[in-house]
Amino acid sequence: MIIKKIEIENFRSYYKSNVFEFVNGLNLIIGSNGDGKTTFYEALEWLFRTDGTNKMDSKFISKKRCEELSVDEADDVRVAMTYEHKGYVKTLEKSFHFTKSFDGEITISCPDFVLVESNGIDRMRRDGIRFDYDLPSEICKYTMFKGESDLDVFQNSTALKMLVETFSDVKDFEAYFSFMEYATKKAEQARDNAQKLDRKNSDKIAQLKRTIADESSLLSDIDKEMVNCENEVSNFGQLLKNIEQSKEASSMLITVNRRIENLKNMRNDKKNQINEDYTINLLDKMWILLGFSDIAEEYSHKVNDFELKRRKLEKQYMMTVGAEKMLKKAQQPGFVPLPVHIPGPKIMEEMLDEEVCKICGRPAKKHSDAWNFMLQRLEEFKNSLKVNEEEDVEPYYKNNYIVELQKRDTILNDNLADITKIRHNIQKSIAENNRLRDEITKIDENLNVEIEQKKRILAQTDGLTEEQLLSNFDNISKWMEDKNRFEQRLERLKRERSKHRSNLEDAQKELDKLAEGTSAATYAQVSSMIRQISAAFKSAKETNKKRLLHAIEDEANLFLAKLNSNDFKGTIRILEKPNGQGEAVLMNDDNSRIFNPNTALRTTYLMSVLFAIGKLATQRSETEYPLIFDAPTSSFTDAKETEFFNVISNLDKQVVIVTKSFLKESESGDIVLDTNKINEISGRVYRIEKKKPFDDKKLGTIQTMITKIK
Amino acid sequence: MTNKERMLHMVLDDSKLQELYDYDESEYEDLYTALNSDITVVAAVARIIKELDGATDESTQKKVYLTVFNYINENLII
Repeated sequence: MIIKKIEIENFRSYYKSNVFEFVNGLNLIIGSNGDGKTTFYEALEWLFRTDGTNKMDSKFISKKRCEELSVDEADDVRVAMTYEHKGYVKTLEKSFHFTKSFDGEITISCPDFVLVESNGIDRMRRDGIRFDYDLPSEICKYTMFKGESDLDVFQNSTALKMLVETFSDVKDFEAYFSFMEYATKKAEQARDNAQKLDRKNSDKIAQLKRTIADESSLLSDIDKEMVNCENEVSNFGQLLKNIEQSKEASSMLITVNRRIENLKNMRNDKKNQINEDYTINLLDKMWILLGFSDIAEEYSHKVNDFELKRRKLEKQYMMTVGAEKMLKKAQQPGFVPLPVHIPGPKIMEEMLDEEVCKICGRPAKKHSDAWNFMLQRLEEFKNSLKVNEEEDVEPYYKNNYIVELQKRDTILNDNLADITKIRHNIQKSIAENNRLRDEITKIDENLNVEIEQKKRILAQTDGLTEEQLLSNFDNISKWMEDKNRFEQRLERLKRERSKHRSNLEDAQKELDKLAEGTSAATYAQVSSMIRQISAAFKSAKETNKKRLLHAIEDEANLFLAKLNSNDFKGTIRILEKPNGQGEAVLMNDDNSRIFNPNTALRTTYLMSVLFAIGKLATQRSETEYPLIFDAPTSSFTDAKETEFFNVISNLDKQVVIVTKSFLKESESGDIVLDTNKINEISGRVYRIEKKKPFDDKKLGTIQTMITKIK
Repeated sequence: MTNKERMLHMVLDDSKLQELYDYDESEYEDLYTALNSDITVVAAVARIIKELDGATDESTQKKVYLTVFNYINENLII
């Protein structure tokens, strides 16, 4: 089947009629975002739909065409493909009618799906569903691919089964397999019936039949358990494979997390060591005094001045007081009086009482001068016994304030020494804090490096969260144990199965042997042969599948070598999981699986599988089928892309690729075709782009223009 | 080579069957040769493939079974 022409009319952005003419080789449709690439692909998807669904849909109608229609005016949405198939030129056409009513509503009608065949002489118009004969739906699945994520055909759980049924060397094995089960059962029934007549060995036959029934039942149970175990091994294997992919990342993440934790602890320690209680220390540790040494000095000077002044004034005062005392002494009589204690007080009191002076013997009447003199002398004596207050000079300064000030000065001078120590302590404290801060800055730098490293690790783990990574790592040992447990169980079951198969075979042989020489002998031999033929069919079915997978692998690896001629490519293997699902994987030369090929390698190996399947389809159906891709190379580098398209253009196969490759930004900022790169490849090239000008908010102004480049 | 012939080759290629009934698979290039083989198991396999023709219904299965059973029964050398 070779696509000759595709016409798209009033289908979304494809306004009125647009025609693409294709060659048998590479056909490129190049367009930027929103230019109509996916619409082209979807138009083909709609055309190829043969199941009778979605025959017409108003969302397919070109908005621009709708808006320009007058009332009651009508037009068609139409997609048609002209192709050559086994000597016939055919046109598959799907269309429906749309009409604008007086109130502006669009009504759709008259869906049509036809296949027009022409052999050069006659033209035959048939139902479009007959296209299914030319491109069977099972092959169609392997012809159209949307984006890179759609390339893995084995994403579909029944893909392997479909492939085997569609492309394997031998078809209908299932029917024969089913028949052989039926035939085996019937033959054994016939043998059993015949052996009923053998009364001599009836007990032995009954016992062997019980053995056969028991062994068959056990084998059935073992088979079921083996499937379960295989599934569990596969599940845990898959989990471990997933972990394997992220194991390194998990390990790195754990190390980075440990480093981050250590660094954070170090940071906290350092931070806690920083003592910045400067405000508290201001008073508690008298740091406030640090700025007062000048004031203390000034204070000292002032106190000294005060002291000097005080002493000066006091001296003057003392001198003044001394002078007065001397004068007073000078004013006393010119003889030296008796000491005050002569005569004694008793005698003085006696003389006063008797009113006579016993010194001179003369009378001294009371209150006379003589008596008063004696009384004065007695008083003087008494006064002499008292502290002579008159003699103490009243101090000039009654309070000791200046002395107190001096004492403070002395204390302050002592404190100045301490203040020097405070300065030292402050400097030491600040230096220590600065050192700690520097260390914290370094720790922060390291912390940032580790945090960035952590971000990088998480960014490269294919969407796994940190919790999942850590949990996966924790689960490794558990899953390994579980997997090993199921593997060991599987091995035991295999041994048991082998033993029970042998038991069953022995029992059947013995039963057949018992039949020898009896009327049941032939039945036993027929039954035995049919059983052996059944086993051969079963074995052939497996061989058939393996051959297909090997054929796909061989072809796919040839394509992979072409698509990655200057790159690492690995080897493609098609594996069958225990649940029957297929899986295309990439292996290293040491037979280890490559879990995370880069996107370009993944795209090329999956495409290689598709090309291989396409080639098989061609061989089996004896006709070519095109491959149609929508944007398959978006992850490719420029060099890889050119190499890829060169290889594709030289494949002996029709490939239609809708892509935004081969576009570049011009100096004026416009998106233009890279003509140099286009010239490097051979094949048909169309450029699709939005017609300018257009209103970016009005869908009715969007129209895809197509230009044939080469 | 038809699908039936490919199936015939694949089934006759079974080593255990070859060992049990001592035949050379390469001698049977087409279904016709196998159908006319002197070796009962080869002819039986050919009959199964030819007669069943990919059918899965029970009546066809029964018919083919009887054909094959009778063939083996008649040609078996005890």
